[in-house]
Amino acid sequence: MTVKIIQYSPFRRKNILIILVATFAILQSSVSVPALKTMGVGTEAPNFSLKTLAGEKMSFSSLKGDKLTILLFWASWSRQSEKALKQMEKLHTKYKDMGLAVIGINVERQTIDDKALTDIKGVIDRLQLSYPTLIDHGLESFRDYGVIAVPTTVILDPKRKIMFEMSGFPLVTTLDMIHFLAASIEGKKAPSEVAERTGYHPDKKAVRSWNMGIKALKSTRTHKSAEKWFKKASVKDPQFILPYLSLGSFYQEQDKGEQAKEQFQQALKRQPDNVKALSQMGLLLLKEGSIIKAREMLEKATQVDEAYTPSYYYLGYLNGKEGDMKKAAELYVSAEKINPMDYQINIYRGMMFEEQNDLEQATTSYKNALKQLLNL
Amino acid sequence: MNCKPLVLLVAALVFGPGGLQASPASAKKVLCEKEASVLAREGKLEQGINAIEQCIKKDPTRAKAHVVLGYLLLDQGDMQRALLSFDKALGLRPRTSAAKTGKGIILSRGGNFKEAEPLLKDALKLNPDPARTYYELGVLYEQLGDMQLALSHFKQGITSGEQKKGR
Repeated sequence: MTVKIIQYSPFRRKNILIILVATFAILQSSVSVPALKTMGVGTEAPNFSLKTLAGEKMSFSSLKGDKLTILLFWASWSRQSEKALKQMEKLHTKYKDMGLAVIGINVERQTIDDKALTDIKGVIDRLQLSYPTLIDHGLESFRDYGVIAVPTTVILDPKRKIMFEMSGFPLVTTLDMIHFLAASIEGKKAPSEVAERTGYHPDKKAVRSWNMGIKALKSTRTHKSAEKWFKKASVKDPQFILPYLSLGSFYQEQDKGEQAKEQFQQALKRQPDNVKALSQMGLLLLKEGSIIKAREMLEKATQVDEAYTPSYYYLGYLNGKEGDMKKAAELYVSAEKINPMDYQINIYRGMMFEEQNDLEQATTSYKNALKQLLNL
Repeated sequence: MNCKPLVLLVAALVFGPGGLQASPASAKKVLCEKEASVLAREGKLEQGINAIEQCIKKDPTRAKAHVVLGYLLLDQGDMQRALLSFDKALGLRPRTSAAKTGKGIILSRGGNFKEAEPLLKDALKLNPDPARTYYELGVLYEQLGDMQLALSHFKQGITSGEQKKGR
């Protein structure tokens, strides 16, 4: 037997180190990540009726694939969008005759003027996209779907059930998506760890109860009953994460911090890398003054999902509280790069400045938040 | 003067629950006004203005249509004509908060804070969905240098806006 002796030059060692770091980063990010504010895998996505660049109205039913439909929320100002658009073009070419449809939903900005149209058309032409792009005038679908980051990918079955979701364009989740499509469309066997990550679908009855809870939240009359529905959902399927997250947010809104924490802990017990649970736990800990634990949670949240904006602005707020204004400003800017339409970024900025008695900057931040909220 | 895109406010102020009282006018008239604001929302402001002017031609007595036109003109930067439209709306329905807010915006942007403030405060009383009015009052107090009052109005506007969005 011959043993090959490998000499490790500093250059090679550096490369190995890079590979190790990259592998660690990949493993860190290889989790299923919530891409939408409230919905998730197994739940029904809303319908939409949007116009093409040519002004033709199209809906999900008129464009859906026989097996699956990919919705890609994108914008020309987002660098990651271009990578996602190119990837979807490859998938479209590969699977368009096998039951996959791809729909690009442009979420450029609230009002689409001539410049925005030129920008959108420029990207479509340059990338030679062969799948349809719809324009989300007024960002209605963006809000209906509760998109957190741009780009966001949502894969639906023909009944609009969410089969897969991805915020941003992370490497491993993209690979998961490719495996998921190969398994669903071609019948190829996905690697076991991928199947584990993408294979879970919640119990239908649990989803129904969760849906009832979400519906109840929308009316002041039924708002309170949401709690009962979310609890029912988690009893029917204890592995279903969304009821814990929804119930946690429900308690959070009512300033019931301990009960909220309990729900987020339940979610984290089942999905230790759930970015929403990590972020909300971080915020709750921050509010109760447990700064070190809060930082730990929030930093982990930004590591597991680089496209989830709340973890960035919560962490920005924390850094501001700690007096590190430079770091705080950087984090707010990072959040804005991912989703400039998230008005909460400016609310947290405003809170930070207000606590520091910087009235002028606080006023400007709150003003900007309100402008965004009012779409001005 | 940057009033863009005020056009988006049209739907919220006019068709939203806190806007004008829905009259028993025919669905056709409502549709006419909606189409105009949809055109504007799609960036076709000129076409939106033409469309709402056609609606007004068919029925000049609908205050709602004048309010829509006012906001579209405001978005276009035509303050004089916008003011005329809001005045027409207020002539038809004096307790129209959307028109009062619109007029308040024009007066405030023109530096006439003295007249703008009571008008906006009045709109706030009439309108159960006052996020935009809070915003305008915030801007007014900011211009007057009263940061504390500006800040509190912006914050109230955020609360009001979030409630409306059902957050």
